[in-house]
Amino acid sequence: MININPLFATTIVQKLGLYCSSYSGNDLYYLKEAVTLMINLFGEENLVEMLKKDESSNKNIVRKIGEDWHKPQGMKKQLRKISEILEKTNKAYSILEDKTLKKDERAKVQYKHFIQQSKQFPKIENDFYALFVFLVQNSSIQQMNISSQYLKVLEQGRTFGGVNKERLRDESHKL
Amino acid sequence: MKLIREILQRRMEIMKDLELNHENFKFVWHFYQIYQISANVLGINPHMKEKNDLIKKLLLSPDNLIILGKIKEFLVQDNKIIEICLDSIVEKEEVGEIFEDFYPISVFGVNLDDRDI
Repeated sequence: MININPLFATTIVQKLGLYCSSYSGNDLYYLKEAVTLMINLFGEENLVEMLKKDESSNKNIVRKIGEDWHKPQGMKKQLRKISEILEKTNKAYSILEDKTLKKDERAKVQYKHFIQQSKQFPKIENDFYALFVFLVQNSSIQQMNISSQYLKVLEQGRTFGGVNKERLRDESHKL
Repeated sequence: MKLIREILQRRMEIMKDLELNHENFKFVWHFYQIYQISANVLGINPHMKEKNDLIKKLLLSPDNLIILGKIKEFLVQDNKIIEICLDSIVEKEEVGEIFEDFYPISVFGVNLDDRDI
Protein backbone atom coordinates (compact mmCIF):
# COMPACT_ATOMS: atom_id res chain seq x y z
CA MET A 1 0.00 0.00 0.00
CA ILE A 2 1.44 3.38 -1.03
CA ASN A 3 0.70 6.24 1.31
CA ILE A 4 0.00 9.34 -0.76
CA ASN A 5 0.77 12.79 0.61
CA PRO A 6 -2.53 14.57 1.49
CA LEU A 7 -1.76 17.45 -0.87
CA PHE A 8 -1.32 15.14 -3.86
CA ALA A 9 -4.24 12.98 -2.70
CA THR A 10 -6.52 16.05 -2.81
CA THR A 11 -5.29 16.90 -6.31
CA ILE A 12 -5.96 13.35 -7.51
CA VAL A 13 -9.44 13.29 -5.98
CA GLN A 14 -10.16 16.69 -7.55
CA LYS A 15 -9.24 15.31 -10.97
CA LEU A 16 -11.39 12.24 -10.35
CA GLY A 17 -14.27 14.55 -9.44
CA LEU A 18 -13.88 16.23 -12.80
CA TYR A 19 -13.69 12.79 -14.40
CA CYS A 20 -17.04 11.94 -12.80
CA SER A 21 -18.74 15.03 -14.12
CA SER A 22 -17.54 15.46 -17.68
CA TYR A 23 -18.22 13.74 -20.99
CA SER A 24 -17.04 12.52 -24.33
CA GLY A 25 -13.32 12.24 -23.90
CA ASN A 26 -12.98 15.15 -21.48
CA ASP A 27 -13.65 12.63 -18.72
CA LEU A 28 -10.80 10.40 -19.85
CA TYR A 29 -8.57 13.44 -20.08
CA TYR A 30 -8.95 14.01 -16.34
CA LEU A 31 -8.67 10.28 -15.57
CA LYS A 32 -5.42 10.15 -17.52
CA GLU A 33 -4.09 13.13 -15.54
CA ALA A 34 -4.94 11.38 -12.25
CA VAL A 35 -3.30 8.13 -13.45
CA THR A 36 -0.13 9.97 -14.56
CA LEU A 37 0.16 11.71 -11.21
CA MET A 38 -0.30 8.43 -9.35
CA ILE A 39 2.35 6.70 -11.50
CA ASN A 40 4.81 9.44 -10.57
CA LEU A 41 3.95 9.14 -6.88
CA PHE A 42 4.33 5.34 -6.94
CA GLY A 43 7.61 5.65 -8.86
CA GLU A 44 7.63 3.99 -12.27
CA GLU A 45 10.03 1.14 -11.50
CA ASN A 46 8.42 0.47 -8.15
CA LEU A 47 5.00 0.38 -9.85
CA VAL A 48 6.22 -2.11 -12.48
CA GLU A 49 7.47 -4.42 -9.72
CA MET A 50 4.16 -4.09 -7.85
CA LEU A 51 2.20 -4.86 -11.01
CA LYS A 52 4.25 -8.01 -11.62
CA LYS A 53 3.54 -9.28 -8.10
CA ASP A 54 -0.17 -8.42 -7.97
CA GLU A 55 -2.42 -10.90 -6.16
CA SER A 56 -5.82 -9.25 -6.73
CA SER A 57 -8.77 -10.81 -8.57
CA ASN A 58 -7.56 -9.01 -11.70
CA LYS A 59 -4.01 -10.40 -11.44
CA ASN A 60 -3.92 -11.96 -14.93
CA ILE A 61 -4.39 -8.59 -16.65
CA VAL A 62 -2.40 -6.57 -14.11
CA ARG A 63 0.66 -8.85 -14.13
CA LYS A 64 0.72 -8.77 -17.92
CA ILE A 65 0.68 -4.96 -17.84
CA GLY A 66 3.73 -5.08 -15.54
CA GLU A 67 5.60 -7.64 -17.64
CA ASP A 68 4.95 -5.76 -20.91
CA TRP A 69 5.47 -2.26 -19.47
CA HIS A 70 8.66 -1.44 -21.38
CA LYS A 71 7.82 -3.44 -24.54
CA PRO A 72 6.98 -1.60 -27.80
CA GLN A 73 3.24 -2.30 -27.34
CA GLY A 74 3.42 -1.98 -23.56
CA MET A 75 1.60 0.36 -21.23
CA LYS A 76 4.33 3.01 -21.24
CA LYS A 77 3.90 3.55 -24.98
CA GLN A 78 0.12 3.18 -24.71
CA LEU A 79 -0.08 5.95 -22.13
CA ARG A 80 1.81 8.27 -24.46
CA LYS A 81 -0.57 7.38 -27.29
CA ILE A 82 -3.62 7.90 -25.05
CA SER A 83 -2.29 11.35 -24.09
CA GLU A 84 -2.02 12.33 -27.75
CA ILE A 85 -5.55 11.12 -28.54
CA LEU A 86 -7.05 12.88 -25.53
CA GLU A 87 -5.22 16.16 -26.18
CA LYS A 88 -6.66 16.23 -29.70
CA THR A 89 -10.23 15.24 -28.74
CA ASN A 90 -10.24 17.61 -25.80
CA LYS A 91 -9.38 20.54 -28.06
CA ALA A 92 -11.92 19.44 -30.69
CA TYR A 93 -14.68 19.05 -28.09
CA SER A 94 -13.97 22.44 -26.51
CA ILE A 95 -14.68 24.32 -29.74
CA LEU A 96 -17.96 22.47 -30.40
CA GLU A 97 -20.87 24.87 -30.12
CA ASP A 98 -23.55 22.20 -29.72
CA LYS A 99 -22.36 19.94 -26.92
CA THR A 100 -25.26 17.54 -27.33
CA LEU A 101 -23.30 16.03 -30.25
CA LYS A 102 -26.28 16.38 -32.59
CA LYS A 103 -25.21 17.37 -36.07
CA ASP A 104 -25.28 21.13 -36.10
CA GLU A 105 -25.35 22.72 -39.55
CA ARG A 106 -23.90 25.98 -38.29
CA ALA A 107 -20.91 24.26 -36.78
CA LYS A 108 -20.43 21.52 -39.33
CA VAL A 109 -16.66 21.95 -39.56
CA GLN A 110 -16.26 21.83 -35.78
CA TYR A 111 -18.43 18.72 -35.54
CA LYS A 112 -16.49 16.98 -38.32
CA HIS A 113 -13.21 17.81 -36.60
CA PHE A 114 -14.47 16.35 -33.31
CA ILE A 115 -15.73 13.16 -34.96
CA GLN A 116 -12.39 12.65 -36.74
CA GLN A 117 -10.51 12.86 -33.46
CA SER A 118 -13.03 10.82 -31.46
CA LYS A 119 -12.83 7.86 -33.82
CA GLN A 120 -9.66 6.97 -31.99
CA PHE A 121 -11.42 6.42 -28.65
CA PRO A 122 -11.64 2.63 -29.08
CA LYS A 123 -7.83 2.58 -29.16
CA ILE A 124 -7.97 3.35 -25.43
CA GLU A 125 -8.02 -0.22 -24.30
CA ASN A 126 -9.16 -1.99 -21.19
CA ASP A 127 -5.60 -2.12 -19.76
CA PHE A 128 -5.84 1.59 -19.01
CA TYR A 129 -8.83 1.03 -16.70
CA ALA A 130 -7.11 -2.01 -15.15
CA LEU A 131 -4.12 0.19 -14.32
CA PHE A 132 -6.38 2.86 -12.82
CA VAL A 133 -8.19 0.33 -10.58
CA PHE A 134 -4.83 -1.15 -9.50
CA LEU A 135 -3.42 2.29 -8.60
CA VAL A 136 -6.46 3.18 -6.48
CA GLN A 137 -6.62 -0.23 -4.78
CA ASN A 138 -2.97 0.01 -3.78
CA SER A 139 -2.89 3.54 -2.44
CA SER A 140 -4.22 5.43 0.55
CA ILE A 141 -6.67 7.42 -1.61
CA GLN A 142 -8.98 4.42 -1.85
CA GLN A 143 -10.68 5.51 1.39
CA MET A 144 -11.19 9.14 0.36
CA ASN A 145 -14.44 10.84 -0.62
CA ILE A 146 -14.96 13.14 -3.58
CA SER A 147 -16.02 16.49 -2.21
CA SER A 148 -19.10 17.94 -3.94
CA GLN A 149 -17.16 21.11 -4.82
CA TYR A 150 -15.11 19.06 -7.31
CA LEU A 151 -18.19 17.70 -9.03
CA LYS A 152 -18.86 20.20 -11.78
CA VAL A 153 -19.88 19.85 -15.34
CA LEU A 154 -17.87 22.23 -17.44
CA GLU A 155 -20.67 23.04 -19.80
CA GLN A 156 -23.31 25.68 -19.97
CA GLY A 157 -26.79 24.82 -18.82
CA ARG A 158 -25.75 21.94 -16.58
CA THR A 159 -24.97 22.47 -12.94
CA PHE A 160 -24.80 19.10 -11.19
CA GLY A 161 -24.01 20.82 -7.92
CA GLY A 162 -21.38 22.89 -9.67
CA VAL A 163 -20.86 26.50 -10.59
CA ASN A 164 -22.96 28.06 -13.32
CA LYS A 165 -20.19 29.42 -15.53
CA GLU A 166 -22.53 31.62 -17.53
CA ARG A 167 -23.70 33.40 -14.41
CA LEU A 168 -20.14 34.04 -13.28
CA ARG A 169 -19.28 35.50 -16.67
CA ASP A 170 -22.28 37.86 -16.48
CA GLU A 171 -21.20 39.05 -13.09
CA SER A 172 -17.67 39.69 -14.25
CA HIS A 173 -19.06 42.07 -16.90
CA LYS A 174 -20.61 44.18 -14.16
CA LEU A 175 -17.22 44.52 -12.51
CA MET B 1 -12.58 0.85 -2.43
CA LYS B 2 -14.80 3.62 -1.13
CA LEU B 3 -13.42 5.95 -3.81
CA ILE B 4 -14.14 3.51 -6.64
CA ARG B 5 -17.69 3.03 -5.35
CA GLU B 6 -18.21 6.78 -5.23
CA ILE B 7 -16.88 7.23 -8.77
CA LEU B 8 -19.22 4.51 -10.04
CA GLN B 9 -22.23 5.96 -8.22
CA ARG B 10 -21.58 9.55 -9.32
CA ARG B 11 -21.21 8.51 -12.93
CA MET B 12 -24.37 6.43 -12.70
CA GLU B 13 -26.31 9.46 -11.47
CA ILE B 14 -25.20 11.48 -14.48
CA MET B 15 -25.77 8.53 -16.79
CA LYS B 16 -29.41 8.32 -15.73
CA ASP B 17 -29.82 12.03 -16.36
CA LEU B 18 -28.35 11.65 -19.85
CA GLU B 19 -30.65 8.73 -20.61
CA LEU B 20 -33.69 10.79 -19.63
CA ASN B 21 -32.49 13.64 -21.85
CA HIS B 22 -32.07 11.24 -24.80
CA GLU B 23 -28.39 12.10 -25.15
CA ASN B 24 -27.75 8.62 -26.46
CA PHE B 25 -24.03 8.68 -27.18
CA LYS B 26 -23.13 10.30 -23.88
CA PHE B 27 -25.38 7.86 -22.00
CA VAL B 28 -23.78 4.81 -23.64
CA TRP B 29 -20.29 6.30 -23.26
CA HIS B 30 -20.90 6.82 -19.53
CA PHE B 31 -22.30 3.34 -19.12
CA TYR B 32 -19.28 1.67 -20.66
CA GLN B 33 -16.88 3.75 -18.59
CA ILE B 34 -18.63 2.44 -15.48
CA TYR B 35 -18.70 -1.07 -16.92
CA GLN B 36 -14.98 -1.20 -17.70
CA ILE B 37 -14.03 -0.05 -14.21
CA SER B 38 -16.45 -2.60 -12.69
CA ALA B 39 -15.08 -5.43 -14.84
CA ASN B 40 -11.55 -4.63 -13.71
CA VAL B 41 -12.55 -4.51 -10.05
CA LEU B 42 -14.06 -8.00 -10.43
CA GLY B 43 -11.25 -9.29 -12.66
CA ILE B 44 -13.49 -10.00 -15.65
CA ASN B 45 -12.50 -9.52 -19.29
CA PRO B 46 -14.93 -6.82 -20.56
CA HIS B 47 -14.90 -7.98 -24.25
CA MET B 48 -15.20 -4.48 -25.67
CA LYS B 49 -14.34 -5.00 -29.33
CA GLU B 50 -17.86 -5.38 -30.72
CA LYS B 51 -19.26 -2.83 -28.31
CA ASN B 52 -16.57 -0.30 -29.24
CA ASP B 53 -17.57 -0.60 -32.90
CA LEU B 54 -21.18 0.12 -32.00
CA ILE B 55 -20.20 3.04 -29.76
CA LYS B 56 -18.20 4.50 -32.65
CA LYS B 57 -21.23 4.17 -34.94
CA LEU B 58 -23.44 5.81 -32.33
CA LEU B 59 -21.02 8.72 -32.09
CA LEU B 60 -21.40 9.26 -35.83
CA SER B 61 -25.21 9.18 -35.62
CA PRO B 62 -26.38 9.67 -32.01
CA ASP B 63 -30.08 9.51 -32.94
CA ASN B 64 -29.90 6.15 -34.75
CA LEU B 65 -32.31 3.96 -32.80
CA ILE B 66 -31.23 0.75 -34.55
CA ILE B 67 -27.65 1.09 -33.28
CA LEU B 68 -28.95 2.13 -29.87
CA GLY B 69 -31.17 -0.96 -29.81
CA LYS B 70 -28.19 -3.22 -30.57
CA ILE B 71 -26.16 -1.61 -27.80
CA LYS B 72 -29.06 -1.95 -25.36
CA GLU B 73 -29.00 -5.72 -25.90
CA PHE B 74 -25.49 -5.71 -24.42
CA LEU B 75 -26.46 -3.17 -21.77
CA VAL B 76 -28.88 -5.56 -20.06
CA GLN B 77 -26.18 -8.19 -19.52
CA ASP B 78 -23.41 -5.75 -18.71
CA ASN B 79 -25.55 -3.96 -16.15
CA LYS B 80 -25.40 -7.12 -14.03
CA ILE B 81 -21.60 -6.83 -13.87
CA ILE B 82 -21.94 -3.30 -12.49
CA GLU B 83 -24.48 -4.47 -9.91
CA ILE B 84 -22.25 -7.37 -8.81
CA CYS B 85 -19.27 -5.01 -8.58
CA LEU B 86 -21.12 -2.48 -6.41
CA ASP B 87 -22.44 -5.29 -4.17
CA SER B 88 -18.96 -6.74 -3.73
CA ILE B 89 -17.50 -3.32 -2.82
CA VAL B 90 -20.29 -2.67 -0.29
CA GLU B 91 -19.72 -6.16 1.16
CA LYS B 92 -16.00 -5.47 1.60
CA GLU B 93 -16.76 -2.10 3.21
CA GLU B 94 -19.16 -3.75 5.65
CA VAL B 95 -16.46 -6.24 6.67
CA GLY B 96 -14.12 -3.27 7.17
CA GLU B 97 -16.71 -1.53 9.36
CA ILE B 98 -17.09 -4.63 11.54
CA PHE B 99 -13.29 -4.63 11.92
CA GLU B 100 -13.34 -0.95 12.92
CA ASP B 101 -16.14 -1.61 15.44
CA PHE B 102 -14.24 -4.53 16.94
CA TYR B 103 -11.11 -2.47 17.53
CA PRO B 104 -11.86 0.79 19.37
CA ILE B 105 -11.01 4.13 17.75
CA SER B 106 -8.11 4.67 20.16
CA VAL B 107 -6.26 1.74 18.56
CA PHE B 108 -6.16 3.58 15.23
CA GLY B 109 -5.70 6.97 16.87
CA VAL B 110 -8.18 8.55 14.50
CA ASN B 111 -11.89 8.26 13.89
CA LEU B 112 -11.98 6.98 10.33
CA ASP B 113 -15.43 8.47 9.78
CA ASP B 114 -14.33 12.01 10.55
CA ARG B 115 -11.49 12.37 8.12
CA ASP B 116 -13.36 14.63 5.69
CA ILE B 117 -14.61 17.07 8.33
